[in-house]
Amino acid sequence: MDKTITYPLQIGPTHPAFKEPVRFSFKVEGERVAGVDIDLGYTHRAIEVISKERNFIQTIYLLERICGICSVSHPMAYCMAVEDASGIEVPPRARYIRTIIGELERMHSHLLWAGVAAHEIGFDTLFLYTWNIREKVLDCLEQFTGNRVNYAMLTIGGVRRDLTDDLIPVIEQTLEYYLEVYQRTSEILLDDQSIRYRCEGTGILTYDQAVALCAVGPTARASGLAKDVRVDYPMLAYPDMDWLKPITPLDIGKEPAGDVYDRMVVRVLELKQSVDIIRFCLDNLPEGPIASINGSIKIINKLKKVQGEGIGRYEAPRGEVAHYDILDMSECPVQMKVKAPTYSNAFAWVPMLQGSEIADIPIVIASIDPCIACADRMTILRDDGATETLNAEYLHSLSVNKMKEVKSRCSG
Amino acid sequence: MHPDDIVARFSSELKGHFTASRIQETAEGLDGSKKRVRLWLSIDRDVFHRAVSLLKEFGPPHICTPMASKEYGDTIELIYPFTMNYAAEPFGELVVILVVDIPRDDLRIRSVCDLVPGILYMERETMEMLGIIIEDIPDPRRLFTPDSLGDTYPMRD
Repeated sequence: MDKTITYPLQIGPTHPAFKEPVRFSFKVEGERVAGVDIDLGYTHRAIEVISKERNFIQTIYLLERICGICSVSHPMAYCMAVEDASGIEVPPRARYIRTIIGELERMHSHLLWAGVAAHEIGFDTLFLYTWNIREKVLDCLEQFTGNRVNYAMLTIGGVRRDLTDDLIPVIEQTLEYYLEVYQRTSEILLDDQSIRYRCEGTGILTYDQAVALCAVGPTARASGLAKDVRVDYPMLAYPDMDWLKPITPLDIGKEPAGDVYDRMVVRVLELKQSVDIIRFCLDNLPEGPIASINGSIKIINKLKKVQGEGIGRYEAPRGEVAHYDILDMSECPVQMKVKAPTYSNAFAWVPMLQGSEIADIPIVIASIDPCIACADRMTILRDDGATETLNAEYLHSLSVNKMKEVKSRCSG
Repeated sequence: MHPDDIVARFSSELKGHFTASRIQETAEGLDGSKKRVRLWLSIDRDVFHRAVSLLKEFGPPHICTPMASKEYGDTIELIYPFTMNYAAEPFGELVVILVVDIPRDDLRIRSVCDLVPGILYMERETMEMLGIIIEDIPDPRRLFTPDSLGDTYPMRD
């Protein structure tokens, strides 16, 4: 007699893919996920509360550390929120420089994600390949800003360092390099049969679900929701780019299915889009000052006479980053609310994981490019109360074994 | 979608419960031809759910950040930043911020998860960070903070 047993499966608070803790509680029927609950908060650092005791300039560097990978996105949204509340102007040249840094960051973030996704499905050659080519943009950022991450480039009312004439060829060479490797990279990521087998039809988020759950970034766009802050909401240099449009699977003539493969399509195409955006900015870089107020003390002195509130939004590599800041005659923000893209997309994991195989859990979780991190164990609690603890290698091996099966099917 | 249309709809439907509105426009782009538009709407707590359903008539609202707050003598002002008209026309997105005063001796507001399911995490955060009870919330558990925190609300002044 066929009897299906349902049992709970705990993954985390440290889980097998990323370096930040989160706990997934699955209800599993056989090899299929029948239900999922997500438990956040293991790494809450109270940054919003800490910012109440940092002045407006110190807060920039605090916020840069919300996320190491998209470390310009949070300061970008924060500075825009403060500028919105206070009416401080940002000179055109600074807007273009901000745009260039943001797009360079998007390129390295998307390549990082491609490597992580490849690793999660047991394709480590591709993991090493994408992380190897990612080095070029990190080198460029280091030469431009002095750091591979946490660039410390932004200030309220502009940027802190200019894009000098000697740096422009460095950025141009980097763009040339990515145009050279783009064809091969996109062929591997999008045309490889084993990747398609693993990613197509896996972790589906429909258009209606993306709208209802307020999904953002490549996760939303892969479901056909053409939502992109860069195109929807005028800011930085983007309003000058009339040709810019959100990337969806329709750009390769594919009807959006909202699966893991479509999320890969969006990110791969966005690599090329970022090159085009940076090229535009270099070709049209305005002359003039890079900040409207020179000096941190002058900025703080101005802001502590302001009473108001403002919103700042930016399209980070993972999706919309938004900050809501309240200023009230103080040299610190009296309140700041921060929304990172994973905050919006985490809820979308529920429909994505529903019905998935256990072996697909790592790639589905990784597919939204979450900002939570690497795990070392999972625990199965069986109906009889017995507990079985499995390590990260075991869960990863499930995914690798599935990839081997897929590859043998492809070669057969 | 024009902010005046939303203001007119709120004004006719909510009447005396719709207390104030403010539109802020900023020119963007080198030629200043694109407009970044934010709309603040102040409403009474009793009509908050109705206000979000009115907003939904114009399209699906997207919750943009967790709810911010300001504290005055007898009230806490709760701020809901939504965006509308996204993925529609280029640079046509509209930020709509609903502002609701909640009396300090009765910290309650109705959930809008039935209208905007994606707001659930933010309502859970509001409960634990500000101590405001979200009525009819489908999942009232804490989101980030441990149960041991008890009645301490980190984002309160």
